[in-house]
Amino acid sequence: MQAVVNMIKDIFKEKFFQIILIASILFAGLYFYNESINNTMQRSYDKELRMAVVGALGGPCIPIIAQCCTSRNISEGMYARRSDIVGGFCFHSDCDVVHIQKLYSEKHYTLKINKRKNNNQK
Amino acid sequence: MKLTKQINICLMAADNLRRFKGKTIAVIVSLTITMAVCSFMMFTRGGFIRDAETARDFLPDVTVQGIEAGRVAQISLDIIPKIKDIPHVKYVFPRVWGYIPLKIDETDVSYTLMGLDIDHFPHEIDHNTKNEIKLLSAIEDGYFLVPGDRKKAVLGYGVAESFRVDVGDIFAIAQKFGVDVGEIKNIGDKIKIEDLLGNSGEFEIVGVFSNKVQIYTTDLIIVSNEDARNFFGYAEDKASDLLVYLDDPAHADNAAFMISQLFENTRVMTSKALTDLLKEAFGRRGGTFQAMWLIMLMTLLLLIWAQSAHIGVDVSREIGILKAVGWQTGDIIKLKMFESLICGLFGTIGGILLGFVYALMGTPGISGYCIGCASVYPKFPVPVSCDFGSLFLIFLLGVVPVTMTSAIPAWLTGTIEPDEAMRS
Repeated sequence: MQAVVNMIKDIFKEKFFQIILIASILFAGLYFYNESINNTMQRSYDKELRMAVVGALGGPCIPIIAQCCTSRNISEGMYARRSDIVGGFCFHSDCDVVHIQKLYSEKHYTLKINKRKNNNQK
Repeated sequence: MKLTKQINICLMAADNLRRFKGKTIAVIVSLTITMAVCSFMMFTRGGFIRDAETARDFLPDVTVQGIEAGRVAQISLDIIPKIKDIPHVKYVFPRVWGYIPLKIDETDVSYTLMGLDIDHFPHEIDHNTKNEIKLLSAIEDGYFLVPGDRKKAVLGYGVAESFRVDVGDIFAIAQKFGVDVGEIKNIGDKIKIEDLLGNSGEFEIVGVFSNKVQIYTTDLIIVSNEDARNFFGYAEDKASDLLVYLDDPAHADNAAFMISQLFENTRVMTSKALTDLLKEAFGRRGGTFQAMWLIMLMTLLLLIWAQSAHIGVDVSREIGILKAVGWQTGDIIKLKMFESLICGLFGTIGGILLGFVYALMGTPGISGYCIGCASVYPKFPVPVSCDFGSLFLIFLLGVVPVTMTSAIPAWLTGTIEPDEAMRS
């Protein structure tokens, strides 16, 4: 029995074990803090506010709808990758400047009619 | 005693790791970084998914959209009475919303103008007064729209900043330091919105959503349905979608099926479908990081393999002596595998801790990629969640491959003859 006790003492003296134990305790502390402050509906003030807004607006989307990944319509890609659900928004790095242009064209052509001068007028 | 022997081998493995500090630190640091990348992505994704799951209880049971030529279009309000006739349907509220492209300070942005049936919604479904109080708390300054409000708007935080509405004295502070921020607006002032498509409207600002709910509201401008109709030029009998609330959410699937059968050219989504959509989107997002993380892990495993397979003079002599004093091949293999196990545990726990702290800090540096569009969506609190399944998976992915990678090199090391080992 004494041998086992000594062995356990040896394990606790081992620095690797001590650090692993301390890291685990620290993680457990952070985990419970996060659970009670951020995630538990009854305790998290922020979460309550978020859910009150979701309820009041009838479900706006978190801005992450990946429509540009799934859409086959090229004009939807041009249309700033906003989705069919309110607030939906793709967050690809190339979509981060979100705007809807009225006209997509590289060159704006204007038709100008020049009347041919009558030969007689020469 | 068998256990005593195992623990002694374990303690000796720890001593060995200390003796070869350089190698140990190289493996542990690489493993910690690899596992931190895996952890923070899993925890952030878990947080969003958990938020989406909680939101399910607050979403309308069924959302009905109109479809025209296979694309989402306006929906007729004529179908509301027929939807109300469906068993268990309690409320049907129309919603008019759309995107408004704007040019603000030479920057092109797109915000969402959202009209609500203010006279009835959300007050009628908010039986729980507490929820209304919380909604008021979600307003940083001013109040939420009340029945009868017309030509009035509640702005999201991002929109308020763009229109220079003074919330939380951000512009006042800027002015104090001599920064020209232009004309500052306050609650009660009017803003004129003219989008690039030619729609326009003037609204009195009655409230601004808090920074804490930015994740859902940053680009929103909330007005009444009538105002939104005027803005977008909708006909009186049209809306963007219909929100259907049931007396019992358990009947959502049946109600959705009946709506889809009764009305052609509609798209019907239950709250579960919307939640699944969110989950799927985050899963895909996490997938990118997982691919990156997998490459890191493979590189690390190769490093560990190379390091374990290379038997130096010191290691060779040590094994020779150990075998000469009576150690079995199995004990040598155990010793080497314990070394990897300790490294694996150390690196994985360190990585989990680092990843968790990084996620709690809001993933600084790469938040633009992780949680939104940097130029439109300013910083907002990131929900972080870690469940038992994620933790188990991280441990499984961190400890097992690292320990197993060293198995064959350990066996090769253990089978060396003692005299041969000592002579080398």
